[in-house]
Amino acid sequence: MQTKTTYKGYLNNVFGIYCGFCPQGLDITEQVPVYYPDEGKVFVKDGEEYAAVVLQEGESINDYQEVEESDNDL
Amino acid sequence: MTIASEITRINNNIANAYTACDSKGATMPVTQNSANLATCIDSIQTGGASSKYGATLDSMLGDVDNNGVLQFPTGQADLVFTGVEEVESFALQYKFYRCFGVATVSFPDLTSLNHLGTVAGYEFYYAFTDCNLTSINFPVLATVGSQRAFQRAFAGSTLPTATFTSLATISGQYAFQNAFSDCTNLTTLSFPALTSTAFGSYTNQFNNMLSGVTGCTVHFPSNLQSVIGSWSSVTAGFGGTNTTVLFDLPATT
Repeated sequence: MQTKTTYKGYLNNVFGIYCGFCPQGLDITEQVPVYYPDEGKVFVKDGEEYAAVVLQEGESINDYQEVEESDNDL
Repeated sequence: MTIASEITRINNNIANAYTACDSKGATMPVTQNSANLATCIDSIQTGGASSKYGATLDSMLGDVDNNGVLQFPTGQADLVFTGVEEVESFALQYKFYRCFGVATVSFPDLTSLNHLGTVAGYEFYYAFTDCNLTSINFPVLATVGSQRAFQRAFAGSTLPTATFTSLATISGQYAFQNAFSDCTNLTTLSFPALTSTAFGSYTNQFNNMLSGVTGCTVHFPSNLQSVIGSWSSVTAGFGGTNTTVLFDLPATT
């Protein structure tokens, strides 16, 4: 598992969300940590898989189980 | 009955037979007489294309090679579903899965996918997964109310860009979940028609939409910033790597 930062803000008067990188000149309004599972794995919560997770209020990353990606492609 | 009337009857029958052959995608001869009719009929069985989709039976069911081996179907290169305005639940799930020959897909008349309920939706579930897509076209699709309507529909394909020109409402939960996962050539996605009331009570429509995709930019109307800008899936770049989300399109309603 690793954490990357998502940067939100304005660049050339356009609001944008930049995941894992911050473009030069971005007027940052918010920074959010995003959790990514290890290669070949996904997070699972309540039966749904997540390729990345933003924790909501009251949540812990421990609420998500990191498991091998299911082979949905047969 | 006269000889003349009998000849007319036979001629009409032959003409009707050719009309039927044409509708079933037969290879039509220049001279449509009784002598050529058998060959024309045979062309239906040996690769004639469907008049609806331009697809051959061989491409859909798989050809049989010289050793009698039924091959995996390649799919038709260019699929055009003219006249399809709705799709029943599950109707296209896995239909073209790994049909590597499918390159372009167009639903020029499809307006909505709106099957509600716990055992409904899934219209395009895995429909074109792992195809060698170069373009998809849903020019008048306005409403996706069905759950998982496009889940993994285009995943693993070679699609470079996609725009849902008229799509105003995506209220079905998980509607685009993993829809473009592992599309390694994908650089741009656009949803120019989405409205501020497009999403109903769910916030999971785009979960993992870009997992396995690097460097894709997703464009939304400017007024959607306040609607979806704080969603987990959007903030997480739809599960992709180095995703950019821009609210740079003209505002909608």
